[in-house]
Amino acid sequence: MLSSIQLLLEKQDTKTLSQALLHTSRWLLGERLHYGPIQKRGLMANWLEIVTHFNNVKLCTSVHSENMEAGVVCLSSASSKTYFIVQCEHRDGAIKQLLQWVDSASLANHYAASNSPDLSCTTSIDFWPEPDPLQLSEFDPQLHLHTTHAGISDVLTGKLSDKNEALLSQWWQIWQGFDAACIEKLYNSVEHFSVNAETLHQGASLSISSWLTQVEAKLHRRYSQLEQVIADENSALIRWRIDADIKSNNALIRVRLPIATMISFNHNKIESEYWVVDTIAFEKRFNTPLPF
Amino acid sequence: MSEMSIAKTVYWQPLSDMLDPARSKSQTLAGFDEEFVDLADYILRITHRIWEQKNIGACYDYYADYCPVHTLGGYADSVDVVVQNTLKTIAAFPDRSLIGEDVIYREEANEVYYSSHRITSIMTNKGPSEFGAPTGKTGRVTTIADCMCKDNKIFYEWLMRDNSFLIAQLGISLDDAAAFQAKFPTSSAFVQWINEEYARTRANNASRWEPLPENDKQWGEFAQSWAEQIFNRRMFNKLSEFYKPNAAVQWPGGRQATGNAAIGGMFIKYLASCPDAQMVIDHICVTHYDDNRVNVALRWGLAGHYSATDTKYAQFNQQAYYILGATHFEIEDGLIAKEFTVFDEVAALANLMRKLPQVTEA
Repeated sequence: MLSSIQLLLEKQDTKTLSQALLHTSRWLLGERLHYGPIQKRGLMANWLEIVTHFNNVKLCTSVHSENMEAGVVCLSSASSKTYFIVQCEHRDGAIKQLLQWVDSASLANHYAASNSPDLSCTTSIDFWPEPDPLQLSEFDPQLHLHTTHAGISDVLTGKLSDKNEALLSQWWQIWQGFDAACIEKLYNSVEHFSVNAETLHQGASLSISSWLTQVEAKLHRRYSQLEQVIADENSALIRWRIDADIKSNNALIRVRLPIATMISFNHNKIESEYWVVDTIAFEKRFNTPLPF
Repeated sequence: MSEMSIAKTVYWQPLSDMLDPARSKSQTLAGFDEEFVDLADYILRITHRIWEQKNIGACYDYYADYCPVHTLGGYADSVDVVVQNTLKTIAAFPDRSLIGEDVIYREEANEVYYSSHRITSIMTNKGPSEFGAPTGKTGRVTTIADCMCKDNKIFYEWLMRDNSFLIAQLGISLDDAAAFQAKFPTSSAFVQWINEEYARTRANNASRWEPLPENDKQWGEFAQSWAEQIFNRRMFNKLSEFYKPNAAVQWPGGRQATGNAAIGGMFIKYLASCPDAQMVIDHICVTHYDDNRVNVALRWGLAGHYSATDTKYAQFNQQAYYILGATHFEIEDGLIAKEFTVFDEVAALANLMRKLPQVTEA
């Protein structure tokens, strides 16, 4: 059902997507769940407006498993790229859930620059949704042996060979367990590694290590939680989140950072990895900038 | 489960099927109009007719003349009041949609059908409402409506709505909304009800607990154990006996937790506001979605003494505190994968301001 999103973006085909969406379908954008025809039409209109600012729409990688599909889409122009990750829960041509995570900061910059070339840096888009209200509770972030912490096998949708499941578990060990030594082994043939529009890796593992260190250092008392993994034999979408304290105006505030990570792999090595974080949603929700 | 279950059909059905179900009649529904194929169909279609088609007068067709309706904020027992309240709500939120997420139901004794209907509404506040002056903003809210039905009519209802989540989107503070509600007088019937519910819950007496069908008994025991271990005994190391490692839990006011560590933190923080809380499950029903999944609906009460976790509410410390709540579980392979818990925090705070329940402690 990713095709209905591509048709919307490439052919302005609102009809195919509208027909696929149910009365009860939910559509996540900007960390807000949207329901009903009025909100869904508003979101489609926003996407049609967004794509007028780009020359190309490209599906970079995708994953298909049972009634789930997901993909990374790159919107590009001569001057910039914006990635977003989309996930569909579908059945018999109907879409029940459409979840999107957008690199909204890059989108806002590109949008502003194309509207007014003098404006090169902004983190707002007029029509970006207000995120849903969120109340966070403090909890013990330590990985106690007697507490159950989700691992890859607990959250996996789809069939995966033991080797690839082990690869994803190693991946989780790096990003949840702060196992920096594992980076060299897992990423030594990676061709692409990006966090939003920033490409971290061009052939060496050093910048990935730096990124891990930055995550660990700037997100205090962090706890990483897997939400869902959708995988096939070539790729995986990993939805996860970090709850942590960050410094804001000389105080520590508790935040939650939802992350969508799309990985493609081959022969037990990661080939490409895309992280997408909705910066605008984060800043609206917590009234503070992302710490990196 | 060879044929698709009613629960799964409801999850995936398009609006056209909801309005004119393609599935064949699977329940007797004695006394109900012939057009309804099962209780989920009855609940979804009458809700759509009353609210989305704005046939408010259809309440006279589908509610008994005498129909007690309990919320944490008030009490009504006549169909005329149901009609009036529906009209006022639609005037305040003219585009309110009622999107049926799930209907969990069971057939009980004497041809009574019990349903627990979880609804998502999108609504724009264009008129004066129970929260104050119109804000012009659009919000989303989850409601769980538990109804007892017989002979084509609802004759008893409990209504739980996540109003603190709604007002946060409307830009209204919890304090302001609760203070606005607390200004309105309460009926003696409501005061009597909340006092009795508080006393009954403190005494650990369930209001009605008809035996579940044999193949659903395990879910009744599961739910009782959940309430007892997590809420009454505060055994948070037992969470993994109830929740999947990536279980997603939605509680009122935008509390959202995934995984046992965060779920435990959320429950601990909530229970700290009523540290001697006693939870009693007053009703349970179960529908089977798939071979490995059941949907379970609970209606429950929680009673204890308030203990502010925010100093601005310290004036209410040690007051009697009562919550009327409802929970829907999606249970996969024996563990909760998703939980939706709904109660009205605005009404709960308004009741503290009104000093309700009125309790003479022994």
